[in-house]
Amino acid sequence: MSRSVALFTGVFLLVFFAFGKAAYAMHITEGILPPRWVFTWFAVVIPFVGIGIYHVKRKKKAVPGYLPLVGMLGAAVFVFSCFPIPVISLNGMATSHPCGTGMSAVLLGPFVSVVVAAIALLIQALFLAHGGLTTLGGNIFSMGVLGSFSGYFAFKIAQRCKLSLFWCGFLAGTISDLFTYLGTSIELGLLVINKGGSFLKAVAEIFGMFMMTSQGVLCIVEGVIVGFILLFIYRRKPSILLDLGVIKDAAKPVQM
Amino acid sequence: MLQNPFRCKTIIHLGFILIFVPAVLLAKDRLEKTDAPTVQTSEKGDWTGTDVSIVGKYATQYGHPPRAPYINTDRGDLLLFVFTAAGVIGGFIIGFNVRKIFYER
Repeated sequence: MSRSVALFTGVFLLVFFAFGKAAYAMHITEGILPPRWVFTWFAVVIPFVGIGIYHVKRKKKAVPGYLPLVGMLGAAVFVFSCFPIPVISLNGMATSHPCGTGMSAVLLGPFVSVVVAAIALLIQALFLAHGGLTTLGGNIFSMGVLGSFSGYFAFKIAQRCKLSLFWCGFLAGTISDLFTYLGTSIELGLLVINKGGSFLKAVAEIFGMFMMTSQGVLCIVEGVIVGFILLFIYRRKPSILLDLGVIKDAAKPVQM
Repeated sequence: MLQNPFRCKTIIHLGFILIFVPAVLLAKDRLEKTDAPTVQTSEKGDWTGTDVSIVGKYATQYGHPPRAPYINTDRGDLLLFVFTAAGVIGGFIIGFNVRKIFYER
């Protein structure tokens, strides 16, 4: 059984390899990163993924219902990050996609969020012609590592400032989206170093372009979505947020 | 009669491959090219994704243009199929787990 499935998979992949044609899809696409950066980004993200897998194994014993939550948020990040939303922006009509890693980082923790993002990006690279296998490390770094950690810390800082749960979630979603695209801008900006260009100028130019187009609007949209999702969970089952350590006191009033 | 279920399944899979693969290979030469628009994420125009218009543009400008993915599903309605399938599967997983986590006691 397994032999024939492997054979079928091999032939299926061969057919796709043989008849591919150019497709410039979202995230950083195949061929954009030179081998040096391909290996660098993989080396950077592998420890995060390893620690994330360890956290999943540890938390699934400690937190009841943890694995269904990981499954749900994994699916949500996957759908979010390949869901082009039409936005009318400064340069006219364009589409862009949210990331979802801010939400997963707040609920699951930043390391587990990196694992979730890595799986989502791998499936997209394999089957949806989105991103790429050689650029997977770079995409995990921007969306997984930078998106998750920035969103997580934004949430914690907002909590320290005693903002309401909605606004904490709003900031987590918005900041994680901003940092994801900052990461992409950095990865693209690094390409100019060997060509004698200015890295900082390139990063600023690319990031500015992202923000002036639909991505800037979408950062705010993602923030609102994350805020409402946290409010929904709080009102429906606050014990989840308590078990995950997102909030400390379920009785504390949470307002918009 | 084949008694071994392993051999039965192997033969079914091999038969499927023998039918499916030549059909795909031969169909490629017989397909008539038309100018009808297809689902292409690489096309620029209204509603182009920022990842295409910005990432692709700057990568090309810096001498590293994008190339075809190793597994390219961006061909005609195939991309529509995989996106729909991904949406359905993702939606099912989200719905199933939302019910399990938030509504079942």
